[in-house]
Amino acid sequence: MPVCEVRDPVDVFHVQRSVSKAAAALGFEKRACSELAIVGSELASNILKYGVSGHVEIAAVEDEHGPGIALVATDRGPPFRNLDAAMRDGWDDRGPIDPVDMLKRKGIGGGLGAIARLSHSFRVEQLDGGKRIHVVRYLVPPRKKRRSERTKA
Amino acid sequence: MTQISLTDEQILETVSDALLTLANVGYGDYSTRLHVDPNDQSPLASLYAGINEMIASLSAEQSKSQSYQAELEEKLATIEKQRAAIRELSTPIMEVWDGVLCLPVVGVMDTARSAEMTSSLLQAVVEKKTRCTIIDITGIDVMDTRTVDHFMRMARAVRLLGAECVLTGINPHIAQTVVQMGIDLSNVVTHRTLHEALQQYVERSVR
Repeated sequence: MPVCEVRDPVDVFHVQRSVSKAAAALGFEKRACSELAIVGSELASNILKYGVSGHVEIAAVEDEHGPGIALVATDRGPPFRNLDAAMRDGWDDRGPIDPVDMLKRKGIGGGLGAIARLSHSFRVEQLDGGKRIHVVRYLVPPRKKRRSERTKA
Repeated sequence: MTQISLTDEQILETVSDALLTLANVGYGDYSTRLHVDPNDQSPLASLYAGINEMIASLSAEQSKSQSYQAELEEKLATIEKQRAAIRELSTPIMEVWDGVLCLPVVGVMDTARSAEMTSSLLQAVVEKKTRCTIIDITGIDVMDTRTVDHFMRMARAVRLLGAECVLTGINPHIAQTVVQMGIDLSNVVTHRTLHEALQQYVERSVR
């Protein structure tokens, strides 16, 4: 499974394509592939926006929830100041984003929320000089999405 | 080998000639060469020949690296142009009728793209004195709830600017997302296809 370097806006397209291709190869239906492409896109554009540069790793996983696809985004940017705030739609890690800034920043503060909504497990790891976001989506959705798993680092 | 004796003055002169040429090279001028008499067998003459050879190969290397640099700069310019093209192509806005803008959206719709779209659409509405904008999302399979919400805000912003905003090509899955979110759709006109929306607008404006 590929590792996509993210340094340039064009790489976001590359991540989208690689993720949806990998998902299709793992047997995800078309809609799930499109949703995963959005997840990949958000991960990659977050790397560009906040993390300077990094990469997105795509891998097949298999655990107690069955087979699935894992996307791991690593960047060299500053850690989240406040993860709970960053997860909220319309917010970044400092608080609500001014609507005027939304146009300038080319974002609406919904990326992390979208990633969590379109996946089954979401975990953030703060690294020395960077951060890593682990996302898993299973072929068959697990019965219950555990909240603690989604929000805790 | 015959030994040719040179006076001190001559030696000094040749050396200073060589130094002058090397100084030129140091300043980036690779065109000067030292004069070598082919019959001259003295060590100074072979030193001259060596220096000339060195300058020649340096100048070849220099021109090679200059051409590489030019090539690289040209490629970078191309990349910059392509980047602009991608940005433009990812949110094409066209005037399909007098005062009617159409925004066909294809591919993966993420939050960054929806924000970019809003700013370019609102700008186009003002610039082109638009009365009606049609956003066609036939080419979108799925949207995150936040992006759907942003779309509805965009529609409202277009109305604030005094234009109508019509959404077309909503697929069943996105329709479900919208309904689940409980968004009030009374402000937004929707049509099944771009064709229908345009037809209705044209019929209405003819009347």
